[in-house]
Amino acid sequence: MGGIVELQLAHFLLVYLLFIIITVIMKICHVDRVKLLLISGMRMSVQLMIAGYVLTYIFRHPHPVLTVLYLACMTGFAIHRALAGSEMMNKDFKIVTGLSLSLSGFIIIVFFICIIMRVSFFNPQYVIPISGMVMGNTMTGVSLGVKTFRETIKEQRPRINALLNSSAKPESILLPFMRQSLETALLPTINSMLGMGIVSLPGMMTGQILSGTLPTTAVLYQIAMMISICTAVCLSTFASLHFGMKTMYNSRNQIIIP
Amino acid sequence: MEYILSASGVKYLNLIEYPEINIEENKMTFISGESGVGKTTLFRLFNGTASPSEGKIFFRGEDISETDTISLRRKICLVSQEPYLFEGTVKDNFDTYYSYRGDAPPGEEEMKHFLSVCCADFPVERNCLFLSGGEKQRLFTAIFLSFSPEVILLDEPTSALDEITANKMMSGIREHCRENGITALVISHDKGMIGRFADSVITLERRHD
Repeated sequence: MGGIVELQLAHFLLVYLLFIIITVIMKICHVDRVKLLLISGMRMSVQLMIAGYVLTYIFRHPHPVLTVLYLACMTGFAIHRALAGSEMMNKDFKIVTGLSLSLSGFIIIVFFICIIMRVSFFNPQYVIPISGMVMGNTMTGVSLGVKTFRETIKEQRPRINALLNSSAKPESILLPFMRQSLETALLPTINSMLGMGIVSLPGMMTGQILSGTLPTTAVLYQIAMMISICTAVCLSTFASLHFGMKTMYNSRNQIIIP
Repeated sequence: MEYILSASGVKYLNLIEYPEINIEENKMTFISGESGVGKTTLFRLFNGTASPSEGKIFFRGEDISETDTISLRRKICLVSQEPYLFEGTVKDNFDTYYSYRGDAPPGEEEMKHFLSVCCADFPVERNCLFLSGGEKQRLFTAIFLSFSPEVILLDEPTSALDEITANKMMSGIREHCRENGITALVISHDKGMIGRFADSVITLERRHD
């Protein structure tokens, strides 16, 4: 297998022309999000450029402190994004979500790096990209789960009140909403596993193949990665909602929704 | 005289201040007063879904802040003015509410009896999707009445009903409560209905410090 073809800067810049297609479609369909598209395109480019330089530095000067610092920033941002727009949740719910996301992600990353791959946890070349994939997907799952839970509770206030008045316990009232939110959070990951290899070649596998790894090796990594991601999403969303739900009622069995 | 329910020096979030309230057992007491005086909140304080910021509420002489709220709500049942029904039939709704309470559902004959008390004589297999607003309200009331509480709190139970149906339903409920020793508290703005069914009336007024 040959190594990866280096992209020439001038050729690479041509990819930004594709934004014209999106902009034209948005204009035709009166989707007033062109500004947001351009800002997110710019932001993504700048963030990835910075990440590229930072990672190059960390790989050349590997040190456990730098690796841990990078992981901490990644986790902090994931928590921040997962909780964005969750004003309706109380402070304890947010703390529980943050802890669930970071602990679940950490457990799965340690399992993947130390048990599956059997390399040092502080090896930045492995731990940083793997953590990125696990935390990125976990963030999306938790965000989706918490958003669904929050919106369902808001919509179902009459049901919650009626059941409370009928002397149902708060936990049994909230449990169906938790189950539904967990299912919503898991579905994208489960669906992507269904189509994988036929409909899509996932990013990690594509990257490895492009850089010269045998597809059979890349496949093993991808399978292990997908199962790990699915577990991290399930674990973190379940923990966030299960323990978060308990912060929503008091010892008087009153459900408190801010 | 010992009252079944009483409120003493109760305030809620420093927004509402209640007078001394005493409710007699086995009577139908109407609560009236202009909007915003805290009638619905009073019901929520009585069944423990809200707590007073000051003062005490007593049920059969016992301070409700020291009792288990789930068993309190089994004894003091609040039928809110916003009925909620699950998808499915009338029977499914009885079954679902009972299952949430952790109780075995009543038999069909018993369901029919409570539907009849609330002037809702439609088949238990009727899909709730096709019920009118008034029918939903009557079914909702029938389900809560079937829990056989000691006190039933009815928050504007006839707001979606025409006068004839409203009178028939209130007659049925009053008769059922008298026969079974249930104390009823009713929030209503309807003076005619208060005149016809009230054993006593409490009028709440806005109180200023």
